[in-house]
Amino acid sequence: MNSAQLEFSPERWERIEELFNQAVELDVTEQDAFLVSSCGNDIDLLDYVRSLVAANPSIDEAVEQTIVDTMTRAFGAMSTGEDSIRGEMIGPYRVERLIGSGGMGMVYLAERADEQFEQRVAIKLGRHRLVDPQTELRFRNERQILADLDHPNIARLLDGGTTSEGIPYLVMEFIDGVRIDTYCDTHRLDIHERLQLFQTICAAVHHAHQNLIIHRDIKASNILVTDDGTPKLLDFGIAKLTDTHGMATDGLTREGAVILTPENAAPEQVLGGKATTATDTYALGLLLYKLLTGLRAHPIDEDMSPRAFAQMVVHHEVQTPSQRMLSEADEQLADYRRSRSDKIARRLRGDLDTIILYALRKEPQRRYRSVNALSHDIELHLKSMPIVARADSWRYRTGRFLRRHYAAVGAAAAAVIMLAVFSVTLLVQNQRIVEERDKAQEVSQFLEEIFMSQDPAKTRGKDVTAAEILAEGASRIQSRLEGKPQIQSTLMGTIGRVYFSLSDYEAAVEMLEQALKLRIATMGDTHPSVAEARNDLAETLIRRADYTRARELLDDALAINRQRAGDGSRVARNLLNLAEIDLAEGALPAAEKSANEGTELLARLGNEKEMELAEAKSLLARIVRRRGELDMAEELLLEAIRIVEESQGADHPDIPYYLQNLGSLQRAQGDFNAAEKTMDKAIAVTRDVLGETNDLVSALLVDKGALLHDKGDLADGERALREALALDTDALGADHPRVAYALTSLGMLLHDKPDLDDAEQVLIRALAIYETSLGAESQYAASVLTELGAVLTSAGRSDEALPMLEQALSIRERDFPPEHLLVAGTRAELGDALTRLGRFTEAEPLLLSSVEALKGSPDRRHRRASEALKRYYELADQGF
Amino acid sequence: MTPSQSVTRLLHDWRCGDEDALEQLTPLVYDDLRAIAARHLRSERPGHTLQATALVNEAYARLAEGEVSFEDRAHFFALAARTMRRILTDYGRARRSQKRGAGAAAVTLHEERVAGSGSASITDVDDAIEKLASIDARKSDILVLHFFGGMTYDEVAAALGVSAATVDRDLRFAKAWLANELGTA
Repeated sequence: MNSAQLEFSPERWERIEELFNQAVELDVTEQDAFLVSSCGNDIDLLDYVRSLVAANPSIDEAVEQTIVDTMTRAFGAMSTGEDSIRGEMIGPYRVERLIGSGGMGMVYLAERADEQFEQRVAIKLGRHRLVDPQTELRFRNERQILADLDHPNIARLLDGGTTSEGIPYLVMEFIDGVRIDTYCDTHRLDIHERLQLFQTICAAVHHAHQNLIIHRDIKASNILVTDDGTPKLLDFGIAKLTDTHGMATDGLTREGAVILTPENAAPEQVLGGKATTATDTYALGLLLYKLLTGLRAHPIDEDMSPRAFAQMVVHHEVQTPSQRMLSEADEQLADYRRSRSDKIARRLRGDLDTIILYALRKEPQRRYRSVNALSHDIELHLKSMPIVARADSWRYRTGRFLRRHYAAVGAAAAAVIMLAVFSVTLLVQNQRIVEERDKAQEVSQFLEEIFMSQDPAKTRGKDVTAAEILAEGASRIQSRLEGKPQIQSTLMGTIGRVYFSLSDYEAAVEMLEQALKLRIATMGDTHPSVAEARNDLAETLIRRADYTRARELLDDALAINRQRAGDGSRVARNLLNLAEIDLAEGALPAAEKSANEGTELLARLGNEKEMELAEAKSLLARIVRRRGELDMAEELLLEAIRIVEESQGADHPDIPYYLQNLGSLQRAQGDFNAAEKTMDKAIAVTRDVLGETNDLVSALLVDKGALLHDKGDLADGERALREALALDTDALGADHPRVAYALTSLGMLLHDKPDLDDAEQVLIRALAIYETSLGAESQYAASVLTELGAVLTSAGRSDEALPMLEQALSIRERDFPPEHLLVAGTRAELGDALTRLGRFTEAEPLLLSSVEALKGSPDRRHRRASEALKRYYELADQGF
Repeated sequence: MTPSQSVTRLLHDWRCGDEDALEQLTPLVYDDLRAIAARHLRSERPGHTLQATALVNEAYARLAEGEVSFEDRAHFFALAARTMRRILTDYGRARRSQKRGAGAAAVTLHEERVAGSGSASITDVDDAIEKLASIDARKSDILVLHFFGGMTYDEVAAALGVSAATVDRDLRFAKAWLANELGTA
């Protein structure tokens, strides 16, 4: 029984092999019983494996004999002059000799036997029969398409057919020439001449592409140059024809038997994807690399396995031709190009590097749109005009860099870098419109250098942090771009914003201040981009709690932006930043007004500004929450999260921020378990996506500490708060309001522990920080005063506590209605202090209204107010 | 560059994934195998049978006499084996098509049959190996290297990047498969 009667699915084949291997290990007498019991009802399987096991074991000898016999006859015929090939007929062609072989079969030089015209042709003979008439028909149709391809630089497919044996063959125009790389070297063509020759090839490939024919196998050995210097592309579309029709069954490139990975394969081919015109573009990129440098784009390592090579094709960034030229410094190669290697490197650096790497991008869709576009860029380069690949190139490279270093750079930074890079792209494009080629190139080259200097291949696997890239960039702006203030200011703004996103506000302010100064100097005080610079700087200053300066800058920017026609998004940004300041300073009505206007402006813009809209809603949520409207706040926050998730995905770096707010809100609503879950998720996502040092980590830790405190887990709560404190002090300095915020939370916890001395110390430090940063009249100061008063009361020093609590209450009542939680909390503490001092008549209304306002509130304030009221009843009873 | 240096380098390049190197190597090996075989047949007494192993060994000694790593050597043998298969099947097919093309009756000559194993010809062997390739490429490759290159298990293992034990097991199965196919062909 042979295999014709059986279908071999991979599973079945595996089963057959397994049974066979087990059976032959057994004693002959046991084999059949084993097979019968193993195969069960599968009679076909049983029959087949039986026949395999029983197959003639002398096959070795028999096949060997066949081979030897054939060999003897074949070589015997040859030695007696009766060559087995010469003079044979393939269709109407008489074979002269073998001229080559490759993956697809043998290639013979032949002549048309037909007396009328003597034409020398190259014949590719397949190796196997075409199995059925349908396949043969398809073969013929596709052959016809290729035969119609008529271009002076493409070797014609003249004819084709199948031998009487059913073996397909193709007849091609015979090109008497040499490989293009050999031709270029022996004729010592310089770079310019090589480029021109290459363009001729591009034109031919493009012509084929327009006829919907892809070459699939462009390489130096498929391009011959004739004596008169005409390049001819061979084998157009043949790769597909032979693949689908059984000519390329060489055993070398077949799956599973891959001994070799074709050096010319594009990443998508290595990955088993479809060949497209972009695949040809990639192959042309490799060819150009080789023609210009004499080197392979993918350097082959001695010990490299095929798998490793495939990996390299898919993942390894190709080194720029100019760098390779320098590092190899092969003067023989340079001499073939009538130059020196350092000179060639200079010639390649910039345009040609960019063009080649653009063609060699891993992602097919990111390469040149067409071979024509590739050729066009070479044309522009030869005419010393700005090439198209430039602007796109470093944006692309930056993107790849960021993907490789995502963890190090951080998602927020990544987003900002991309954004900044985009803004520079616009600049570059504007520059191009006014034909200021030098300026445009200056910028792109500058950025390229920064990112290239961080290439992992060059840093030898050492992780490069965003900070290092930025420091490098900042220092280069001064040295490399002196006397070009416009470009300098753009790049300083870029780098400043990246620093901002990395929470390095000091460095950010420094860069943004400089950028603003330069812009005012070059563009005047009222230019829109000056307004932008002001806004950027203000945003950073807000993070550093420098609200006065930030407000000034924003007012100026707003005045400029309100006068401009535009989509309103700039005005919105200014307004939202102002709202942020108002919120921080406790001016809630002003904050809400600005935030509402900003939100409405953004909502009008629809999808375009959805991220900013989410941000605005989240800000509004924080504002209404401070007003005590928790449900409305949660609703706004959930809307913001929904907007981000729907437009950006659940792993967007903004999500942790929203989660933080949500967790804190859930805590305020008394849902401790949900809150803890939300916070843990937020902390994990933040550490993962934004990095340990991001200031959100500490903010989340403070929230978590306070939550654990509420739950009564004081030890863990204290640990979280102290960790946050250390992070904030490290990142922001000891005098930052955020440090004070963490201290306040810690003070509350220590109070309940109770560790009154420590609590007092901690709160006094917090108060000092707030007084210098946010002012003694701020709500934050009021929070500290309230707690400090409470601690002193607990310590039996109610007289000292009294003035503090009275001041706190006046601050609270200034901004909040009487029933507000914060007001109630402070009232409770004041009532308690008065109770302990025996001033019961003053204490009673305070305590009663407080407990009433805090009724149903889950947090510590409610507990403390209730306790204070209880104490009041006890002491008041005794007192009366 | 001497021919052997060139072959040594081409071999190395080929193993490292340079397809062009293979294209340059194949005609070299092809021509050389034929030349060696022809010389043997002229000088040896009639009836002498050529052994694939001996032929490939000699070609190897001639073409790559320089220092070559074991892996490169294995790859050379693999290449020679495939080339040998190609030479022989080309010959077999040409013979057949010539006969038929010339209008002769479609007879398969007696001497092309495998003695003692049904009546298979070299093209039957080739077709069977090709069929195996479509089901299980590695086993088909191992058969080619074994029969047409006379390679040892270790050499086959090195050329294909698998263990010698795998080669041993695969070959036992593949031979049974081939015998089964040819036996009833």
